[in-house]
Amino acid sequence: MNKLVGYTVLVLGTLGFLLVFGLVKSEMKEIVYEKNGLQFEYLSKGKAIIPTADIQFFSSQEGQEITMYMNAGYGNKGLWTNLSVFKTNDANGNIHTLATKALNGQVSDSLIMNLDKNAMIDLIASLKDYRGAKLSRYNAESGWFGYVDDTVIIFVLFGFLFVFICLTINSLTYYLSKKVNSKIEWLIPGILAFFLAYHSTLPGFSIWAPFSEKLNWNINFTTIFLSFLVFRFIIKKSQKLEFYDQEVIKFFTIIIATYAIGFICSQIGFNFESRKYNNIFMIYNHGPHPIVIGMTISLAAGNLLANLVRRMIKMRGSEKLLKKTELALGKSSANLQSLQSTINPHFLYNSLNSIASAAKVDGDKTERMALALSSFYKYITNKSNESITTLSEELEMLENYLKIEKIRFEEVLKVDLDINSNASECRLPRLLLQPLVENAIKYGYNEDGISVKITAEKVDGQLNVKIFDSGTKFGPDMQIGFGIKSVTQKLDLLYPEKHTIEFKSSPSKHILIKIDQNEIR
Amino acid sequence: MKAYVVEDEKLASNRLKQLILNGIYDLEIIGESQTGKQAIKEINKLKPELIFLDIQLLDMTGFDVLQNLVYQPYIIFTTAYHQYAIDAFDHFAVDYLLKPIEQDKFNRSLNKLLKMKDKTSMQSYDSVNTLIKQKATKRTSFSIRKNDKITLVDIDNVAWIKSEDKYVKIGVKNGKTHLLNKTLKQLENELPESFFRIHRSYIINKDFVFEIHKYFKGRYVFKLNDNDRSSITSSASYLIGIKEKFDL
Repeated sequence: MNKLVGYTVLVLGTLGFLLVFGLVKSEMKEIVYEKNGLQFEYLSKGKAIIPTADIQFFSSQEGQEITMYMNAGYGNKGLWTNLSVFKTNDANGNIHTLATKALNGQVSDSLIMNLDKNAMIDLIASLKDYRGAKLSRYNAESGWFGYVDDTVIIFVLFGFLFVFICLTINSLTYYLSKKVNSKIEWLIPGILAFFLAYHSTLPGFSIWAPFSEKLNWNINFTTIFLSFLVFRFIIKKSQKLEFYDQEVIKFFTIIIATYAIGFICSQIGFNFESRKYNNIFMIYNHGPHPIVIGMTISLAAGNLLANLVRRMIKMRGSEKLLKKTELALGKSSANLQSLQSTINPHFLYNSLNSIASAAKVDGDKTERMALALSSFYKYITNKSNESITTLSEELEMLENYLKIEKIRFEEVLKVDLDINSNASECRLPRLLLQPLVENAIKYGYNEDGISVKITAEKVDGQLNVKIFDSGTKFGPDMQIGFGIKSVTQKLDLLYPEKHTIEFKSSPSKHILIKIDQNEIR
Repeated sequence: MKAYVVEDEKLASNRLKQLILNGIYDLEIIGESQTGKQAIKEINKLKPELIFLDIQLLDMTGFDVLQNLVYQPYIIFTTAYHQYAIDAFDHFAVDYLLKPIEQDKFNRSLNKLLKMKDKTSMQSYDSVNTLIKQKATKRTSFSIRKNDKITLVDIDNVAWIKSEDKYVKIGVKNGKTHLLNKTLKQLENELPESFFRIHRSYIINKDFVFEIHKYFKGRYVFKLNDNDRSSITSSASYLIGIKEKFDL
């Protein structure tokens, strides 16, 4: 539980930290380039998610000032639509002159306005001192991840969405990977990651200007896809860990991997791209695209929450099931114990009553009864932890039982045993026959008395025991009493699916029990 | 006083005769029988004032004998052990002796009985009989007939019972189902307490329920842990009963 509390604090702390730092914005004015007294400064910001901001770069050199206005907004050529360049306090160079003229309104807008990205690059390239300028976050806002607002908005908006997406995807994946193919476990998230990566640079979202959209897309795609591979690797490696360890590791893997990979990718990408422009621009270090990182955090949190919810649902069922199974197991062994030891008390008290009766008039009969009764109970109490016995042992016990019953019922009771010698070593649950014979005696009466017949033989590897009695045939809706119930329960517990018990009325009334001898536990 | 002994075994009736001889009352044994049939015939003819009557006779029960008597004698029941009977006797203050019978208890019981002015009414015996039958006839199994063969399904192995037209279908733990020529209404009163109705056409066994999910409009989904993992949805009209049964 302590671990759980620790993890909760860690995860919530991380999310809170990212949220707060995402919201915090650094100084409005940021020096992005400084060389030979020439400064590029970041002057203003615009709205993050709707990139229509005017972003101004200001530079100065020994009293000379150049102000470039870059108007980032929607346009035919992407975000980089307009560039206005003005120069003051300088009379040298065409650009300066142009700028001055522009400032004084001496040139038409069309000439200096609407310069596209390449024109802007040409412009800066022509300013020899500006070569190698490092431009940071071209049209980005400062903050933890660059485009802070986006990160936060996406984080909040997508966070909720991702919980449901993850819950659905995770459950579906789990279900399909179990029912159809285990590869699906990776296929669905893989397709999802690909889809997300593919659409990571939507038109309208800001890019790392002045570089191409294609580069941005490549960086985003690589970032997401590599992160997915790392994520997959970590999941595989952490499979043996506990659930909570696993989930927390996944959570941090998603965030850290994406940021790290994004950082590396953008460095490589922009360095590569810079060379194309003869290193006129060097891009400052920054992480992955804010949209990517925003989605990543949402995904990590969503995935964590979804798995927790899924586990909670699953646990509720499985814990109950476990309890029930334990209960059933305990019950069955307890049942067997009580079944073993319980012989109808009716019989004991009746026998004792008979002994008391005979004691005064017939010492011989009393002795025989007392001894048979003691042998019978010895059998019940001895070896009571053994649940299976051989037919010959069981019959020995039965004879003791019948001795008593014969004394009690005298000539009214006739018992006939017909045991095939091939059955004597067959195995069967202890105390299986006695309740059946007791039952036969109880219900076996007709005008001529009670006659009970017990036959046993081994047929096709099965022990067949038949117990006949002379009573009224089995009715259409017969009910079982305590004795027969204990017999069926013993057989169910010890020979599940390996026995049959049938109540037959023709050719003569009998109970037939078959026990498979090949499947002894 | 004339007495008559009905016991299904010779030794048991001998025992009673010994007790009567050694007892404090002057009783004359005018007959004995081992079967109910013989007892009814002789008692109605001899009209003894006191009858010692075993509950479990070879051909019927002691109560069956009583119902066929044409007059009202004193009755003392004898039984070895019969929990339902003992409960019922105590409930209706009917006299009985537990085997093995001791002399002291025998005397005391006789003393108490004969001091009473009024005999225990036949109605009380009927009530005892009804009570025993009620308790004893809670269904313990279903018998499934195939030709002349009957197999029994222990009621504790039945997970659910469903009505299907004029029949009911029972679902057994191992996944098998059987059709019975009965109606759900008939069965409902015979079933042990673990069974209860959750739907117009469904009765389930509480012992098999391992999950209950809330559903719409006061309905619940019951998941049973039989082999098929049956899942049965209750109807709203049985909501109150279900809530009580499961403390929901």
